[in-house]
Amino acid sequence: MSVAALALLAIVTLLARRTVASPWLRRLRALLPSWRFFDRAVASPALWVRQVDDGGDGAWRPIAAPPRRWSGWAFAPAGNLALAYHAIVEQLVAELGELELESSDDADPAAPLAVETDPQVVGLVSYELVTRIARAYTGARRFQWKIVIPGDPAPTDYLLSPVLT
Amino acid sequence: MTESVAITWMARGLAVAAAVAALELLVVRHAFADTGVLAWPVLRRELAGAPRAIRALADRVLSYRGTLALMLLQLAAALALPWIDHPAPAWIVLATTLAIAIRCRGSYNGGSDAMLIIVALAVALARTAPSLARAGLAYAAAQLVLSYFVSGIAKLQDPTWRTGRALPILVRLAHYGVPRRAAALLSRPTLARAAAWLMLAFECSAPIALVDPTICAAWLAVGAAFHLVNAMVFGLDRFLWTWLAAYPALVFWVSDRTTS
Repeated sequence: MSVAALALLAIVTLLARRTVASPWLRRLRALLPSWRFFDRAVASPALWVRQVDDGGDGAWRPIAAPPRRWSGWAFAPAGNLALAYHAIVEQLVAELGELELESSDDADPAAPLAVETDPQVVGLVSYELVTRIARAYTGARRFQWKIVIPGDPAPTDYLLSPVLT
Repeated sequence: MTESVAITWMARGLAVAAAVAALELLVVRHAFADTGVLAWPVLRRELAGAPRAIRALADRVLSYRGTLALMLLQLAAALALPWIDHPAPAWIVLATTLAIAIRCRGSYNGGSDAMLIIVALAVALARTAPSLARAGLAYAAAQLVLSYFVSGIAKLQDPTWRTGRALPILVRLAHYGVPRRAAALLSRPTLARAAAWLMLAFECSAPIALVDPTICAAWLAVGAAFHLVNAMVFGLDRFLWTWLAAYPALVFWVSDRTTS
């Protein structure tokens, strides 16, 4: 009996990997964990930011985790916030992938998304959240962000924001 | 181990895990303000398809002030858990963890939110109706075993893990902020391959913990060390506290099954 229950739970857990279409139902996924930690070891997208001043454009720099404190193994509020921010960046990349798939149905597949102007893109909650992350990290009046996808031989800029204020 | 002892230790572990989670959120509460990154006026746009009653409730509970109240409530409930043998603190930890996860688009800290909810559910059920204690413990034990086993099987399917190239990739990810010395060590091919296979063997062998109480204790000791290393290398502190809180459920379930 208990083995059967465990097997049933295993099946439900394996099925939990499937995506849920509704964004508000997706918010309940903590109730149905998939337990697939680090199942794909790939370099993930990274958010880069730069200040844009009247005197010229600043250098691009990646957003990294805050320096680890000695107590970080037991209590890491800033580190966990950085992980939450990174999840937002990954979510935006995933959502843009879905948009590209949708747009390629009736448009020229070779044509890239008009990212800077497309209301579908800039209207995404993830896009707004990434903009807020970039603002929080630069602390500048005018700034710009981009998402860099690591690759071989060189990383590529996947998404470049306009200069934002 | 008896049911009541298992629940007592789970409640203590849950208290630590939930208190750490609440305190961490309170430290970075600025991110949840309307001017912060995780601002509710932005996040609420994703609830456009939800029923009106749910949206109205969410606006009240998940606003910045509401979220601060949730964090404080979770902290208070966590502190009460070891001292008050009443179901309310465990239900409150469950509800506040779920509410904060919902606010953060499903989870704030990945699987640790889910395991916190599972442990809270087990304690809450046991304290609400003693007749439900065994069901709660069995559910927590099953999820604990699955958390390792499913994760191990999923990794095993990826050639990057099997060839030992996974850890050098993961330790270079900037968002984990892996200490430089640990990153250099785990980037050595031989060590990376050995560590990867040790991890795969450990995770995939989770079901053997069900066989016998002694094996279970030894396996969980390795598990605790595994989480401690993860916390030190990748900064995954919440996974350490939350998984440790679930361990008594497995100890009880295995000892109960083998003695009956």
